Amino acid sequence: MLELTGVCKFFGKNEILKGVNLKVDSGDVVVILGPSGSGKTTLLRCINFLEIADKGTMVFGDKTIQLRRAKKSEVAFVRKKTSFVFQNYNLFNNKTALENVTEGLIYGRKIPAKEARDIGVKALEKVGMLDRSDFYPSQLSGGQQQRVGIARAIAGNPDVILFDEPTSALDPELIGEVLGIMKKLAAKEGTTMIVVTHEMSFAQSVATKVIFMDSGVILEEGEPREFFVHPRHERTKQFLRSILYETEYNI
Amino acid sequence: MVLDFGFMKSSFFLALRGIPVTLFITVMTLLISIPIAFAIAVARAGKKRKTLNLLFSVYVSAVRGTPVIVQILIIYTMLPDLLKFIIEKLALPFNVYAINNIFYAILIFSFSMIAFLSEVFRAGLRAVGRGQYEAALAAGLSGFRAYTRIIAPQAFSAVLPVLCTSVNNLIKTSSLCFAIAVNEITGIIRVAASRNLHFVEGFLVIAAIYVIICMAVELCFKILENKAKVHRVSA
Ligand SMILES: Nc1ncnc2c1ncn2[C@@H]1O[C@H](COP(=O)(O)OP(=O)(O)O)[C@@H](O)[C@H]1O
Ligand SMILES: [Mg+2]
Repeated sequence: MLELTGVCKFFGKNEILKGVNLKVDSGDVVVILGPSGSGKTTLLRCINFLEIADKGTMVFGDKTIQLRRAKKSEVAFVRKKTSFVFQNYNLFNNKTALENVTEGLIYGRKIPAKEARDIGVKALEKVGMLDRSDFYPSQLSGGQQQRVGIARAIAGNPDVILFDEPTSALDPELIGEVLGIMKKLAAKEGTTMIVVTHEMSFAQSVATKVIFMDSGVILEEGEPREFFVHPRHERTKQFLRSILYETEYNI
Repeated sequence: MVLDFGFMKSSFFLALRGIPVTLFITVMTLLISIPIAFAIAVARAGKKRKTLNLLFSVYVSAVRGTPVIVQILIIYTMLPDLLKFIIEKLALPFNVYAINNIFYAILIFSFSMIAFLSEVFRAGLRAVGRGQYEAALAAGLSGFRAYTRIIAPQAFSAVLPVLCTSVNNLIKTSSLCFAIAVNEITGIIRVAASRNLHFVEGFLVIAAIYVIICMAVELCFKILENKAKVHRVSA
């Protein structure tokens, strides 16, 4: 459904993505792991054109798009078919929870306001935030904000949702509520997702495919069981050890 | 020293006639300079705008570095001749000397307000940050919609206190228009007081009027700020 080939991205002279290939099928939950600074966020941002890649091709459905020279209509197409959940939520602070969800429906997808409202209510219900629909982001906890962020992402019924470390800005006791919703989306709705996260439990229990990125390349990828039990690269083993150690240490 | 209360009363009512002019100059200046200043602030927020940035920082410094009265005198002595030259070149059926001085006043104040407000809005835009803009794009909004629906309202509410101060400054600065014989509050009273030399009374009256107007403006802004408060993140 979504296939990236040879994605390269420079910031100044630094090559941050060095020819990344990625294939996502409908229903996949692709988890991207990797140390900080390895280019995970940049890769997600290149997918929905928040960053313009310097090289690479995207095949999305029946469309083939040159990332570097994407037309306005192609960018709009991809943004309609994807949505993004940000690390620090990025909710619209001047809009209520419900308006945060409907804003993109009304002004991005040209859905009539009344219909958008119904969709918004359903989306908030799915993330358990319906009782907060008239609250402004400043009146919500981090976990609640991120749940609204997820409601905003699912409302447009996208083909793929991109999650960039959706729980890493949250207090530990709030992580569960967000991960729970993501698990539900994957299991019940079969939502296709690309998830950058350090939550190993999520990767192990939900992922259909795990990818390990290091310094701008995909070093290793595989099914979660294979990946976690028999990592091939020394770098991957090191990374997993450090994460698991950290997790135990936190407990 | 004895104040002539009779004159104070009559000049109060006389000065009231200047209020519409003062407010007209203020409102027109704001209507012109706020959109332009905001557009400049947005343009300067983009990446790689070296020449543009240099150009505007020179403009801002020039405006900030000169007294408003000097700006008034420069533009008022230069612009009519310049306009006359242009009009004659284009053979337009238009008399430069028929232009009301209020027009020049509005132009002069807009010139400095644009410089000042563009800096204010730049700070406001920075306060909102890029994240919400990107979220708006990701949600399918156009860049224009992202600005008008998400970024601009927040940038405005972030700068409301500064905006309030600048509006009051503008109202007070408009008193300098007496220099080009505009009949706003100060101009009217200066002329009236010069007839019977009761300057003190006249000036005390207009001081009181300015205080009242500025307090009214502050009140309006307080109401706006309270409305906008809920949007602001406390963190
Ligand atoms: N806008 C930018 N300008 C310059 N360098 C950037 C920019 N965004 C990211 N980088 C650099 O790119 C590298 C990868 O960043 P990122 O994709 O955020 O990594 P990750 O999400 O894996 O931690 C980092 O070294 C970061 O400093
Ligand atoms: Mg990142």
